Amino acid sequence: MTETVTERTQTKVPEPQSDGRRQPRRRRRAALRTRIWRERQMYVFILPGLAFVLLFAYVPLAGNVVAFQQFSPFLGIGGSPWIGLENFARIFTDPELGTAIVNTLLIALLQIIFTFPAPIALAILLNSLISSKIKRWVQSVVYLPHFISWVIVISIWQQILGGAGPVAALLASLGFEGVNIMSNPDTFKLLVTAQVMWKDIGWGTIIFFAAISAIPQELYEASAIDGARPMRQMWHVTLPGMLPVISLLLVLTVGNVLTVGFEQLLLQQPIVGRDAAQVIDTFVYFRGVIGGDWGLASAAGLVKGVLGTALVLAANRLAKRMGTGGVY
Amino acid sequence: MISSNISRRSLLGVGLTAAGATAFGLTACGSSSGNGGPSGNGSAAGPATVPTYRAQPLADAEAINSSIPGIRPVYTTRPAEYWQSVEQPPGSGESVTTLQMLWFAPPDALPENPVWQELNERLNVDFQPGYASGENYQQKIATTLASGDLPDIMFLQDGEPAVQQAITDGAFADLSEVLGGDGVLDYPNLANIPTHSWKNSMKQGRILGVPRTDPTITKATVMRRDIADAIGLSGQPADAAELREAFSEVTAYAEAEGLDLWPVAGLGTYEIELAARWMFRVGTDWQLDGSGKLVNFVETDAYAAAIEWLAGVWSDGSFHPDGLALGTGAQRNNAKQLFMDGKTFFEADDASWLATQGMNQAELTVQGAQCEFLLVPGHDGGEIVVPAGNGYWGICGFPASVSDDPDRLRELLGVLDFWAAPFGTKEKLLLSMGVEGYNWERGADGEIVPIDDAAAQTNRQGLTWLGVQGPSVITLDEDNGHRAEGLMAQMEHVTSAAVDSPVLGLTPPSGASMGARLTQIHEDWRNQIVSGRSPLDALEDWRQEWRNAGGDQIRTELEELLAAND
Repeated sequence: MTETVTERTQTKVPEPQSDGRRQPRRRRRAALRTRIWRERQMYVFILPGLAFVLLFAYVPLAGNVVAFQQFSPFLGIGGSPWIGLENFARIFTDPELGTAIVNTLLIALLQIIFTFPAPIALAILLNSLISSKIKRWVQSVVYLPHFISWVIVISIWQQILGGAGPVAALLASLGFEGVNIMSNPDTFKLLVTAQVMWKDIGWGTIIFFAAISAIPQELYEASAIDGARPMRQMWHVTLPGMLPVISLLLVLTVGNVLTVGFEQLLLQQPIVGRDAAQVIDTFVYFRGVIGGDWGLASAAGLVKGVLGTALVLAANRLAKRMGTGGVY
Repeated sequence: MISSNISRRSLLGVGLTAAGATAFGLTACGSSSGNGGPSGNGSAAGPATVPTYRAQPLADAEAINSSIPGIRPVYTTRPAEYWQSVEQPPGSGESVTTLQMLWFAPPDALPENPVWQELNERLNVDFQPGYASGENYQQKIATTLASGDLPDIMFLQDGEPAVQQAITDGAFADLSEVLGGDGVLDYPNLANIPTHSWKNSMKQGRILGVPRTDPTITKATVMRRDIADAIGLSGQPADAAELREAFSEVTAYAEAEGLDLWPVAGLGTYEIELAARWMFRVGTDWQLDGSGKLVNFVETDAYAAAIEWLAGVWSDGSFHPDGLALGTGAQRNNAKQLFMDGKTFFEADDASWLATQGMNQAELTVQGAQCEFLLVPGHDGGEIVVPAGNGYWGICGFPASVSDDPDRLRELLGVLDFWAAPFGTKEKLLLSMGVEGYNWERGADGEIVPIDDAAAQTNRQGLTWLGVQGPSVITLDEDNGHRAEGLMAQMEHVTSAAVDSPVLGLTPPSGASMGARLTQIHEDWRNQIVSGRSPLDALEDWRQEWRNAGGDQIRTELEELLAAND
């Protein structure tokens, strides 16, 4: 923490401006050029990554023009007719989109409340384990579900929590007949959140572990001398030490918040119904991709992208205001 | 027999279009042709003549044939002799690129693949297959079309919106002139494709590809005979009430015996719901009422009765506890597995899969298990009504540019002619069994014995699913030969009750784009009502939502198409 602040302060220190503005600026530019030339071999390493981003992230952005077309893959962008904002008008007059937006926001909210803090808690918990052997073993086990595809995850959940699974059998033996957690539309959003948590909690801890290990050991020693017990240390040393990383990830999560697990929901939608499981992504999929309505799908994607950007900017500003620096 | 999965998946995927015969669509967009007919190549021309039908000789082997038209012959032995239906290799040594389906692991490259080498030699082409899997077909065909670089032979699931759009845009060669009427006789195996497949696959009266022919009805229902005996059901159920009662007794029996056994696995559209629709004589997806107006099956009283019956079966506890999940397309294989593991009493699937694999698997897994075809009764003990399908699933088409090159067109049609070779020919033997000495060998009596080599199997399977095939037959091996009579009785039971849709072969312009949404509405409401989450009278809300979401629009479009046809 202290180091980061110092670094920032250093870069922000303005250069002396005794000779007016032009002089130092030119000098700085020349210096940059010189520095680039000096490190030219290093800069070559940037090229593949830069080319990748340009080719696969920026060039495809141009494809968004499809949102203003009645697009036919065979005719291409050049041959398809332009229809202005008609696709956008169609999205916003669709009654089902309302349900999809509400569901998306609810699931997103649940995920921010429950899924986001979960790996932080787990990381802190694991960090407090003394035996590094057990710690490593637990880490490996909790990473595993991340690598399992959603189809398998849902099958596993159904085997365990479905109507014919051991949980239902146990509940039945206790007198609660016919409990099927997997097909209850009322609790579906919690189920979805729990599934995401189970799948990705371990994976999420990786970055928080890194944050914890970056906290200087002296701080713990100092706090111990001051009489802090483990809970106090967690509150006053560990958590503040993790704060920059937490706020960074929170900002990024918020930007992605409208993407709430397409495959996971698509697979379970027939079981609990559209009212419970239709989200923006599945809406786009059914209307756009399955229905062959590429223009409408792109328009919905574009709207989602714009909203996501706005959310990132807002979250970043909020993070800055809270004093953690934000992402940029 | 993977085709039942495929069709179902694709049906669900494309919103029940391109139905083929394996199942029938819920919306009448279940047929074929494109939005507005092919433009650019022959749209100005009138309707093409349907290709002439000329039967090829049947295979020289023991078979049971039905007198009812449209029923697949059931062979209980393999032919002693195979005959050659394609005299000259159709190719000129040039390359032939394809877009075909890959349902299996990808085959090895040419140098390591004797089946591929044999194909190249027999066809005299440099065969270069391109693949789309069942899951990514939509993306693959859309990107292929967008690239502008179309392969020579494309398997077109013509219910896909992207394909329909491309048909309207004139992407594919119009084959009406070369294949219409007697033109097809130049390709004897293509002339052996049944007329209904050609007719139903034409787009606004034009032939844009060779259909993958299927029987118009492929579904069959089975039950566990040993369990039926145990609950005292000695014969076939007499009516809907008795079938429901039998299901309840299976549950009671399973509980008493402590068995992992359920009467029905999932609430599947093409399984138990299908049987209920047969029983309650719901009929085709679209029907003409007394005044000549189109009515959708959802709007009929018969369907309301079918749903009520299903809700009763559900409330009896006769479905697997995960019945809603097991009824989805994604979990169809799990539901089938339950039957094969001896854990369900009832199953419905492709007759061929049941007779050659499903029933046998269940009997092998559970000691004492015996499977029998279930002859679904009319709900009141009377007749059943079975809607007939299109009789094809997808077409093989060529890029429009091929129309300008008669030699190339002949070559490509020759390749399809090879693939359409019927059972009993040397060509079909290569396509369905592979290469002698690699995939199979001759037994002591000269009979064909498959070599147990999974890699060789993969090398054949992946390559040979091009799309086009000869008229389908069912071949029962030694283990399943005894099912022949029962299988035939089942196929006759359903096929004799078949009715054609009044809108067969018509495709409303909005069908493809609205199909997915309407399917969703259907499955959603059905699941809600049957599982008791919504009351039975919510059917009226269901109908209303269906009408508003496009049902009425499709009805109007179909009525216009019908009027134009008159």
